[in-house]
Amino acid sequence: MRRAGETANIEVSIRKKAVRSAAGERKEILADIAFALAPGEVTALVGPSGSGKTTLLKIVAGLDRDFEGAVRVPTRRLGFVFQEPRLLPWRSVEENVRIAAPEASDAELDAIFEALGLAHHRRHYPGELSLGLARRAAVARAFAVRPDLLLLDEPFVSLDETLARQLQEELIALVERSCVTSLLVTHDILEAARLVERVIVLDGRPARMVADLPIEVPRARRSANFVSSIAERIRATRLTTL
Amino acid sequence: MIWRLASLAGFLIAWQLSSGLAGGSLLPSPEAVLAAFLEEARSGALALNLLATLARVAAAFTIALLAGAAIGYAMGRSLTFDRVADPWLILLLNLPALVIILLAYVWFGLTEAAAVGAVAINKLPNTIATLREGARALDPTLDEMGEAFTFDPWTRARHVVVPQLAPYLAAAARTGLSLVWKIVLVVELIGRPNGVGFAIGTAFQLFDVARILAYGLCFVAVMLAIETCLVQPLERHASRWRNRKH
Repeated sequence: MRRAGETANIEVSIRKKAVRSAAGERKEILADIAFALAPGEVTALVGPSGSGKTTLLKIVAGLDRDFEGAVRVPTRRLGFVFQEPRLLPWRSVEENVRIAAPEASDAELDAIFEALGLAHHRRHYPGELSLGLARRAAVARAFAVRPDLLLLDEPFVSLDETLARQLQEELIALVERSCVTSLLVTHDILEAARLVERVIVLDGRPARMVADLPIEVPRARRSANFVSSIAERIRATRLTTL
Repeated sequence: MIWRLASLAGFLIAWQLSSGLAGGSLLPSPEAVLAAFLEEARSGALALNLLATLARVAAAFTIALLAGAAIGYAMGRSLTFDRVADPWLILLLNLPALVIILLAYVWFGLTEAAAVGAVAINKLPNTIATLREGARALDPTLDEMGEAFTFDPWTRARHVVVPQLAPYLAAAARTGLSLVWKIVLVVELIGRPNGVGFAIGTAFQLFDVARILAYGLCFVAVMLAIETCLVQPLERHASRWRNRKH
């Protein structure tokens, strides 16, 4: 899983992150969070809704610089799958991908569209797509830039179970093929237990790291029982229950 | 279409009847206006004046739209710049067109640049105000997406910003066109030796109502043609992504 020649870890260390609420008071939402991601590692960030997971992801992406601490991302290319697809509604699916990834070759795009079942939707505008397809287009865009770091913010939320499973399979297949370092934000513990190699749990107010669990068993050999036992372990680390 | 034609025929009949009641010199009949039109067309004056006016409209419109879009966008994006420039905008919005025109002629002479500049400045504040609204309504989540994928400024402008501003640009262009050509006529009436405004001014001094109407209607026709052949197809093209459904 390690990419040759790339040994630099991604290092995240946040002492404090506060936001100003609409009422004008400063509220601390993240505190004492530190972890490193090894190249090729697939990590999930779990925690209850509103625990600042999205904020943490934006800090890692460099989109939010208003915090105390340091983030070292020794990479240039970033693939970001936002919670909402965030496609340009006035550009077709293919144009959306090409605008973000002008260097991607036709063959690469063909392969990505094929893998995500978008081959017949390249000319469609985002408004013509279902949420599932729009999510796929957003995933295609993130992979087309050949990212060194892939950030996924709840990419399966509000899809029905079958559709979510299907997209998870496709996404994981792409992640494994490209060996990209990935950070997946989710509030779904089972999803995390099924998909990733390491789970970081956030909890409390302000949110702190309450656990950092490696899952050594390879993804393909995880039984349903194993997944639920992992989920139990994740749940046990939390201060609050869902 | 039938209703439109019927309405147009009704207008012509009403015109003919009123002309009979009011007398030919106050309100000339449609044939008299047509004759005046043909005479102007034959002498070449019509084409010359129309072209002169259209050139001024095009120049003033382009300047006002480009400068207005740039200033409006900057005001919509920067709170500080908005605070600084807003009083100027209010001043400009409320300054009568005639004052701007006369001052331009007094300060810069009876020149083409003064004429076009005065018209552009009249249209400018309206464009700024419209585009400022557009810039304020830009979607921050798409900004963030562009930042995450490190779009360069040109990509961002072309694919993220301009498509969002397109409806505001279209609105500014639409109101702009009708405003600009009306003011151009005033500018020509006061200080230009050609153009539709100048021709109408001359006709007024000779009390030649037929010629005034001939030029007026001719100009309406040209503007309608621009609207249907240029503005509407452009709008359809810009909003094609909105209308497509499976």
